[in-house]
Amino acid sequence: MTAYIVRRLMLGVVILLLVTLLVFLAMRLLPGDPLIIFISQSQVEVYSPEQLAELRHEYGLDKSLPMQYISWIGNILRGDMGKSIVLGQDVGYLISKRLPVTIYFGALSFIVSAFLGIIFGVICALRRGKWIDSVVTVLANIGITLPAFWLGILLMFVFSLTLHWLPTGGYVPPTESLGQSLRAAIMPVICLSLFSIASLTRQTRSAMLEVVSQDYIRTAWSKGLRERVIIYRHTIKNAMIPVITILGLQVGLIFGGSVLIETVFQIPGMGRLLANSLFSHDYQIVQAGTLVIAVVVVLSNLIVDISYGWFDPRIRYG
Amino acid sequence: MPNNVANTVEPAAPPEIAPAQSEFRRVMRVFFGRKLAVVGLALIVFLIITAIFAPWLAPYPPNDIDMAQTLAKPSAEHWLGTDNLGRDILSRIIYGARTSMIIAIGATAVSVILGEALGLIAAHFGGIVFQIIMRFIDALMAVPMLLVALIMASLLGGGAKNVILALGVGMLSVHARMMCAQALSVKQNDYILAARAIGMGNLRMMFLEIVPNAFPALVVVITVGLGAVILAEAGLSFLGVGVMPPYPAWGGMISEGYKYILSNPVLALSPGVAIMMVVFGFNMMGDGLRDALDPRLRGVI
Repeated sequence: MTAYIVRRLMLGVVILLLVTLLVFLAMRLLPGDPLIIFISQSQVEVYSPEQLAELRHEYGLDKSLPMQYISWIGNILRGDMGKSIVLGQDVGYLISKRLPVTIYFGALSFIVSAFLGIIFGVICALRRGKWIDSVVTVLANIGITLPAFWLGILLMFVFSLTLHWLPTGGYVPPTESLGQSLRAAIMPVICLSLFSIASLTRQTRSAMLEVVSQDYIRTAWSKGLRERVIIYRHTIKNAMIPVITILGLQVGLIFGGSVLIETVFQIPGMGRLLANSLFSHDYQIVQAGTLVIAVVVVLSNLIVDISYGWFDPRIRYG
Repeated sequence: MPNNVANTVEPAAPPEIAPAQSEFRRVMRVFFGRKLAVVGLALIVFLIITAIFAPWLAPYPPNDIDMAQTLAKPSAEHWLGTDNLGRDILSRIIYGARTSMIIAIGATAVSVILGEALGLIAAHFGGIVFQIIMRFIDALMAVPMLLVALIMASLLGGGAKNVILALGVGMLSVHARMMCAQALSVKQNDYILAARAIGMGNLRMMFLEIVPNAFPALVVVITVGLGAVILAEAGLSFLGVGVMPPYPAWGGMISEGYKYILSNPVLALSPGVAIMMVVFGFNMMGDGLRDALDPRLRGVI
């Protein structure tokens, strides 16, 4: 088990290195000189060629591509993510301010979707063919088609602008006022989690139905186990394996969705930071931010892989 | 509705025994036996017809500016009203079907061709080739698909061609993974061994043995993928890196209409309904195809 975790961690490190390589190459090989774009945007001062060269040197843009890559990786390993060209601030500082916000909304969404998705799926499977199954399944099928940002606009229109029940967005730290923080989080969390709730419901339902038709469930019934034992210990536990796979995918989806949802609700998180940095070609931030997100995704995949063994001891970590 | 999603798994007839004709009929029977799958198919046919015949169906040209009638409420003249430049919303939604269709097909083609090829090569050659390709795919998957597409699109600049490329690269990993898994499982079969025994070359083996046998799964992934691309394209357009502005795109229309949400909510909300209908269509068709072609895929896709 420990050997497996170590091996998976090493694989994770390899994957992250490849992520850095891909991101770096994408940023450098695709068109646009970041320095020129920045200077023509600011238009405040006119730079002389010497000053340009100096700036280029300051940001390490005069070195060869492999050298730039190696020094970037070296700096990151030392905890230095570089300095934003456009905002003029330390990238590590910017990310440390924004990441907790995204993780706050993301974690809430993840918990909500895991909880509701699995419960809805189990209810549907146990009440298969009844009205509740039909209603929830239809809703789940609609849930996976809704554009999250559109839902955000719709909710904002109804609950903030028309009914004035909820704030239009923003972020209140939970340490400041938990009530207000959660109130402001209601709509973004609905938008971020709806797709996940819906796809987990679909997944749980079909996994449950698959397990119910297995021989060992029939055996469990015929040897007179109580219904509750059969449902909880035999059916749900066995049905969870494909569900956990889908659950692991939600982390990336929620992060991806946060780019849109943070824009709709004006939330100062990683998603908006990345989107804004992309538009201003501030690629120090884009590089580091993408890497940070990849770290979170890779770690959560690792947790998913390890948790398989808990749900299904037959899985061996060879 | 009750019976369609979860009938017990019926094992697909082994393709090498069942004659092609009856297999095709069985697939048709299962697919058309699912009400939702038929609804999905109808929605997609409706979308395709709308996209092709947009100039005849749309009451106005999509970019016709009428400053006398800006932000008009829905009326007999303009069924869904007009936007801030007096352009007819319904016409723009109808033309938007074209944009969605072109981008969905284009991006899916890019991701299928690149992704399937990578997955196929990885699975067929195994060893170090497999390791290198699949680790790069893992790396691509570690970054959310929307973010990959957003980075690509904003670096390349907007416009249909770049959006297609960006979304194609974003979706690539899904197809590569799927193809790789399918090819690995097809490779277990005796007929692959037989093909190798008669001295079949790598290319012939891949295209005559592995691809046809992995085909059912690919059809399902592609169908569902088309819906995913349309959702992602809407997201990119919403953020302003999609298809260039005067050209109607549903996501872009939502983003423009968003500013006038209080005076005319139809502006931002109606394109979303169009997106939903189309994505719903692809998803339901995908579900139906999955049940008809290869029920073992339930849970995988």
